[in-house]
Amino acid sequence: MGNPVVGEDGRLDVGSVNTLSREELTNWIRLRLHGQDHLVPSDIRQAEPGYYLLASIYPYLERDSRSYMRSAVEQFLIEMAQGDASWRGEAAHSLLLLAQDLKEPEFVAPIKRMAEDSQFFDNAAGRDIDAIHHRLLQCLVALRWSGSPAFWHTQFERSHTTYAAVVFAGLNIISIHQAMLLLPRVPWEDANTRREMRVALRGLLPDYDHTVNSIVLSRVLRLLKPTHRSIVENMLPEVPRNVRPLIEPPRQSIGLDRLKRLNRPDVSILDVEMPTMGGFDVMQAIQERPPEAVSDPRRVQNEKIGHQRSPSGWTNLTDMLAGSHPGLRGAATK
Amino acid sequence: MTFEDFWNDVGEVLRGDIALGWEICRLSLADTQHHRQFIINFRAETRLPGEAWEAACRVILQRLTNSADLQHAFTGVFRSNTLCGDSVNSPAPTPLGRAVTLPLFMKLLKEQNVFNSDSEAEQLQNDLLDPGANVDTVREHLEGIFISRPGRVAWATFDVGRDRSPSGLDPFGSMALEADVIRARLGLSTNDKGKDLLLFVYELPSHMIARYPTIADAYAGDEWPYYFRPSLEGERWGMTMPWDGCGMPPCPEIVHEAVNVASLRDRIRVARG
Repeated sequence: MGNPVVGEDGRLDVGSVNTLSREELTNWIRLRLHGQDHLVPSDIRQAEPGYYLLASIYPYLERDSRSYMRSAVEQFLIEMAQGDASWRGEAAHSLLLLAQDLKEPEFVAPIKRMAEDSQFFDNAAGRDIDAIHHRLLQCLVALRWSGSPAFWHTQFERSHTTYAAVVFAGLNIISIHQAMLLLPRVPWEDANTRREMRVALRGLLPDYDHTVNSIVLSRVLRLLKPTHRSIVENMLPEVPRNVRPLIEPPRQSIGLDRLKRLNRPDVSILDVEMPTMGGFDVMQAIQERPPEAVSDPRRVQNEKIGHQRSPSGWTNLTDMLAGSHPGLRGAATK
Repeated sequence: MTFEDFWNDVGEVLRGDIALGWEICRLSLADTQHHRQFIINFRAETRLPGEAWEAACRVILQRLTNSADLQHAFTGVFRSNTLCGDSVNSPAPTPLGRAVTLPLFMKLLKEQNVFNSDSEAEQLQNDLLDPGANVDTVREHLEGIFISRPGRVAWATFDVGRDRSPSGLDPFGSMALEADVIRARLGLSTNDKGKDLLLFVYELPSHMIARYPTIADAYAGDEWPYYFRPSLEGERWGMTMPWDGCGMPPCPEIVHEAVNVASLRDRIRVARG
C-alpha cells in the first residue's frame, strides 16, 4: 500500500502523492478529512485544518492525481448527500471547505441536492447539523452556481440574520440588481449581520467599477430607511455619491391607477418611474418600503434636474441593465 | 511532573506493565520522524499533571501496535488536558505575537463565515492589509472574529530583552521581516515555504493566562506537528523548535485560549514570502 512521503524537513513530497493509486489517494484524503491521518504532520501553531494541505497541493499534482482527488471528493459528497453518518460535524465541514477550494463543477449537483434536503437544514425540526446548511450555501457561491432568485430567497426566509450575506452573494452571481434588491430586507440592526454585509457589499468592488456600483446603489439606497441608508453608504466610501445616468432613462410605466391601488399617498409617480432592471419588481419594492423612506420633494426635484442634464450615459446603463456592460459581462460569464 | 516521576509513584507491578507497554509503544511509533519526536518529547515533558500522565499510561497499557491507533488514542487523552501547563507570569509576557500564513488565515475566516465569495475574500484581504489601514480598520471589518481557531489552543511568541525578561517590545521587531525566516524560527509548517505570512501583535485579555506549552497542547490536534519540543526544567517559558539545519535561534513561546480581534494592538503586517 503506497503512502504519501514526508521529507527530512517535515515537508510533504508532492511527487509521492503522484505515485499513489486512485484507491490509495482516496483513502488518504478520507483519513485526512476525518482527522485520522497519522502519516503527514500539520501545523499545530497555526491550527492548520487537515483539508488545507490537500487544497494546497491540488494545483501542483499531475493530471491523473488531480482527477483522482476530484473523483474522491465527488464520491464523498455523494456519500454525504446519501446520509452517510461518517460525514457529519467537522468532517463534513472539512469536505465542503475542500470542495470550495477545488472549485470543480462536478461538485455542484450533490451540494445543491443537500442544500435542498431538509436533513441538512440547521434550523429545521430535523437533525441539527452544526450550521452545515450555511456551509452548503457558501459552497454553491464558491462554485459560482447561480440558481434562481427564488432559491436564494427561500434560504433568506429561513433566517434573515443567518443567511443575509450568503444569500446576497448568491443573488449577486445572478445579477447585481438581484443582490441589491435584498438590501431593504436585511436586518441591519443585528451587529453580526452588519459585519457580514459589510464584507459582502465590499465584495462588489473587485467585480464592478465604481460607476456601476454607484448607479445601482443609488437606486437601491432610496428604498432603505435613512438610518440603514447611511450604514450602507458608510460601508462603501469608495463609491461616489449622487452619480446619475446622464440622460433621461426609459421609465417603467406602471400607471397612476396601479399606484392608487397601492393606497400610498406618500409615493410619488417619480419614485416608481424607475428603469426596468432585470428582476426588479418596482411594485413589490414600494410595498415593502416603509412610508418614512420615500418622497422627499427636494430629492425628487434634484433627481429631475439630474435627469435633465444627462446627455450620453444612458446607452451604457441600458447595456449594463441588459447584461452587456463590460463590468457586468465579466461577472456574468464567471 | 515528568513521566518518570509518575512512573516512580505507581506500584511495582503496574510499573513493570507500564515499562513493557512503553517499549511496545516506542517501537510502534518508530515509523515516522514526527512519531519519533513524540517519543522524545513524551520523556522530556516536565509540566504535565498527574491525571494527564495517568490517562496517557492507560493508553500505554493497551499495548497498541499500530501507530495510527496509538496516535488516535493519545490525541484523545491530550485533548482533554490542554492548557494545563504552569502559568508564565514573572512578569506575564506582553505584547504577544502570532504568525499565520496568509491563505491559511483566509481559510480560518471562511470557516467563521466572514466571507462567502472569492471577490469578497479579495476585497477583505485588500482592506485588512492596506498600508493605510490601522487596528481600528481591522476591528471594524472583523468584529468578534477570532484570530486563532475558536475552541483550540492559541500559540504565541514574544520578545525577550537582554536581561532575559519579556521586553514589552514588538515580538517580531528583532526578526528579519521575511516569511520563511520567521517560519523557521517559530517552527511553522515547511509546506508553506514561500507564502506570505501575516503577523499579529496583541495583548492577552486579563482573564486569560499565558502558560507553558505541553505535549498535551502539541498533540491534541487531529494531525501531529513536526517541529515541537516541550520546555525543559528551569526554562522560564516554552521555546520553539526551529527548522532542522536553519541555524537560527528558537523563540520564546506560550499558549493560551483563543483570542479575537479586539485584543489586537497593531494593524496586521505582512512578511513577504
